[in-house]
Amino acid sequence: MGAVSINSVRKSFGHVDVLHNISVDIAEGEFVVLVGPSGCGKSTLLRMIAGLEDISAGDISIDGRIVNALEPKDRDIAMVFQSYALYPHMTVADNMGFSLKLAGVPKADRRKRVEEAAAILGLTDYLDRLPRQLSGGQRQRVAMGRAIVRKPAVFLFDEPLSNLDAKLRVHMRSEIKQNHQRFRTTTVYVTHDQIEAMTMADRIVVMNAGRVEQIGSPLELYDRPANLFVAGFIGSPAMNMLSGRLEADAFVAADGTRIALAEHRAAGAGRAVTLGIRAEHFALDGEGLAAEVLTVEPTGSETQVLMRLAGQDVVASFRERVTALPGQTLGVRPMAEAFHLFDSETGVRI
Amino acid sequence: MTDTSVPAAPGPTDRNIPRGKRGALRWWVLAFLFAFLAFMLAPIFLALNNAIKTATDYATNGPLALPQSFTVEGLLGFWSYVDFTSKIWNSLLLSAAVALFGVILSLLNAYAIGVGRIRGGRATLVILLLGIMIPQESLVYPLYYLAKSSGLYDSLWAPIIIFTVLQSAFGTYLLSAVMTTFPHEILEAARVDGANRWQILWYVVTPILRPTLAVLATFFFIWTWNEFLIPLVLLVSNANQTVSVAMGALSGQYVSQPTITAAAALLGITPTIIFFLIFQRTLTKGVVVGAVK
Repeated sequence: MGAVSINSVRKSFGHVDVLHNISVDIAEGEFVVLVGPSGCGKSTLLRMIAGLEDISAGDISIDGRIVNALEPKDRDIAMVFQSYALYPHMTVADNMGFSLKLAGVPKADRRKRVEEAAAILGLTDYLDRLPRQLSGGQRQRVAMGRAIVRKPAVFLFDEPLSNLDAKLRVHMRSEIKQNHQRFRTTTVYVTHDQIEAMTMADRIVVMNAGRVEQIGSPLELYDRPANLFVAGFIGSPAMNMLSGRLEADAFVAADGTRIALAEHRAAGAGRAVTLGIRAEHFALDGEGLAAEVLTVEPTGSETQVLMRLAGQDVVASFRERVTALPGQTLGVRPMAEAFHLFDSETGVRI
Repeated sequence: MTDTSVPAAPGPTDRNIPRGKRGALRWWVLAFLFAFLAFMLAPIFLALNNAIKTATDYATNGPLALPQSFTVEGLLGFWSYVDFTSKIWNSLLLSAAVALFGVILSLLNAYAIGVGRIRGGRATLVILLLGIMIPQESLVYPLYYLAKSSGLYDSLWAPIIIFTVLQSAFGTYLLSAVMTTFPHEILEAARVDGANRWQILWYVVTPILRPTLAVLATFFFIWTWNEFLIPLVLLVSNANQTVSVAMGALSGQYVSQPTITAAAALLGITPTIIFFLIFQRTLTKGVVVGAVK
């Protein structure tokens, strides 16, 4: 149980269309992350799955049953909100058991299920506390506990970590992942943080301006981004984009610098293209292209160098320790086998 | 032994003001507050001062002199003359019923307007507010006939219904403003948890707003307790009158007996003061609750 199917779904507020024809199939037990910049419609889509937002066209089914007209409570889902949305006047135990109380589960049974969930989340000692007596991380756990006790078909997370500090965020990320591995409940998770998406997802849905840009596993998106948007959005530091034109066996940058390609591309010769090179796909090579060093940022395990290459700013990261100083020239060789070429006009991968 | 040579560390907020000026400012503030307190307490003091004097003492020394004699005759006389026990009971019944029903009605109205965002909510608010903006004197005549024709004339139910509606106009206004800012995610979480509208109101909204509701109930109680005109018009028989009506009725008959009037005033305000003392913690809590997120 727990497969979610989104079919040609649209959403408009008055005359403004915020979601255009979205179709995503989420398999049972899968962890799918909806990621995109703010305002791309990812939260709206999640809220439509939850039943908190009407569907303007198309349909959403959970477990093979179309849920368009169903109230949130009848959809067999549980949701974790960005602000946690805990009931401030109820204890942790009451917060977690509220849905069971409404469903008429007997008190003893309720207590048992709440205690089970609390044990898993490390909340046993806090069951009698009020939310305001808890730290951010603990509140986050209570919000998850509230979802877990219901044993729903689908978990929905709406940017659940964005109110936590950086360290706690990393910690809770792995906790959420572990819980998913334990329960194997279908999960739809919304975030604007591509690192969260990369580290947690089985599959990522990249959204932009109300459209799906690409659906795939984290590494698929990283290795073969379908368009310029995905290429720029996924990965940190962001992919370097050089604009220029294509020749049969080389990319020619705006300033005339020739960068050799790995394969012969006679078909598109002459067309305006964007060459994408990830930061780690540069090698130090005295005989390579000359790049002027702008800044050097050593992190210990690697060195990030901002440099000027072919008339454009480029970030490269090297495993080696780079001793060059700003203003000096560094010989670098872009790794041709890892290039990404995009049509500059359409943004689509070539 | 006291050690005066060690100066106390200045508090963080005091640092910008020089030490000498700070002291002087504090004394001024204190003096002002005392003057204000004396001003506020003066009527109660006057009532108390004269209620326990004999009539001769009052006649000889005037209303401002401290009592040279002590008697509770005035208090007892007024109590038995107007059957104060039944007046208190009527006032209590009227005020408590209005406080309860008024809060319930305000809560239901405001839930529909503030959370339910019903169509025409704003217009409804304006119409409701007319109820408190129109002077009561102009409402008395129609209300009198309404009470007569509905058979509620000279029954406590008439002022209960009227004041419930009038007070809840203000209550609706206040609560719908509070509910508009109610965290939406909590309401949505409750929907996802399986609560219907009534359950959201009962289990989530009402307990969270309880301090505000308590303040509202306290205000309704005190306002209704102090109401004079409408109870005077609608409650004619002695058995149904309230404290304020009884006090009003007194002024014609006891013009020459100011000590009894003072006794009446003292007895009239005492229940409100007791009520306030009981609920003052709720009141301050309710005022603060909006500030603490």
